Amino acid sequence: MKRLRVIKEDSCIGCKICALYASLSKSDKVDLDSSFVKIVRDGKKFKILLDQGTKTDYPVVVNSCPRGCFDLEEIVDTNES
Amino acid sequence: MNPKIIKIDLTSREFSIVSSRVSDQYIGGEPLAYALLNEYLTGTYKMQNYMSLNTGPLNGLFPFTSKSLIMHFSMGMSVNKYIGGGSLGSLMNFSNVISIEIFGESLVPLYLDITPRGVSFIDVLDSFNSREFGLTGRRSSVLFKKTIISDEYFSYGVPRTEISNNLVGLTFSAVGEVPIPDRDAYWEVVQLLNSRIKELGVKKSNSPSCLGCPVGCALSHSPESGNSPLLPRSLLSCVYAESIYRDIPTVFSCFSVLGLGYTHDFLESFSDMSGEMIKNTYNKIEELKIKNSITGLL
Repeated sequence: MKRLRVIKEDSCIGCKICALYASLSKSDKVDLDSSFVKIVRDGKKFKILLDQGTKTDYPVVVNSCPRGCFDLEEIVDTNES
Repeated sequence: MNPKIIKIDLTSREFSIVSSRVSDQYIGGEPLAYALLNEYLTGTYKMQNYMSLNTGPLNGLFPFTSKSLIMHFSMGMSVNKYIGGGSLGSLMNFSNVISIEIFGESLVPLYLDITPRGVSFIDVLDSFNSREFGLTGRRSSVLFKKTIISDEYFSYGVPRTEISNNLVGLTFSAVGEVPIPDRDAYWEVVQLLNSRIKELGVKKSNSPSCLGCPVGCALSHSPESGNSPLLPRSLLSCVYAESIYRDIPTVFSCFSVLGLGYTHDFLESFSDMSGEMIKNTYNKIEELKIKNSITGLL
């Protein structure tokens, strides 16, 4: 099982393409409210907020970032026996 | 679904949200701003400040189309346009809001907190902090200072005439969704546009980027002159992407994957039609100037 992980937050340029693609991965619409990625400005930098309470392992989100801020990490599903 | 226009009266502190078909004919951006000004001069015009903030239907959904245009029609009857980057235009488009028109003036310094559902009028007191307003991750702010600036970084330039409406600034928050009828076709067009990145006159850098733009160029904070052809000006594409968005087949593809019904023939005739309407708007302004000078209002 995989999930989205932020690996280079310092490189974020705030384009929000990841947030658009995150919402589009789950439905056929662009909706920043329902996106599991949110980008917020933090002084001169940007913060990447992830909602891990939902499925996030979409390669299209990883590949959409022009600065390589994400990857997919393997996680152990504790519900599996 | 017709795009919405938010009309805000600073004098009475009232607003209305109307559905409009003006974008059927003028798409968005600069031609749409002129069409709305034309409508205003024809209809309810009275001697007062007028301003509009405008976006286009591709804004934020396709790369290099993320600008917004602020038009100011001054009490001295001059039209000034200011184009800047950031996220305002895209967030408006994601909310199906094509324009925000602002009329009149406030007696005291005022800030507007806007969503597609309503407008709050906030008196600017000593403790005022514009960062307190808007929705996390989907807000854009514009401040009218010596320079018009959005998202604390992107400049629209220095106002050429005084904007004397006492509006300190505004925050717009996106609420709503844009349906993408065919996701695979949409991604295909986006990838095609991204592959043309070498055609841009700017290089990738690590500066804050306009929403939806992968470049993050060093010039993203600079205001634009708006001297490109009318089709890219209606889309509010980046001036450095003019060669991409003046190309009718490319623009037609973008509209098609969004399910927008602009035909190829319409796009071919768009510049002539819009140019005529803009000329007509300036003629109306000249007529009003003459009328006002006769009645001694100027």
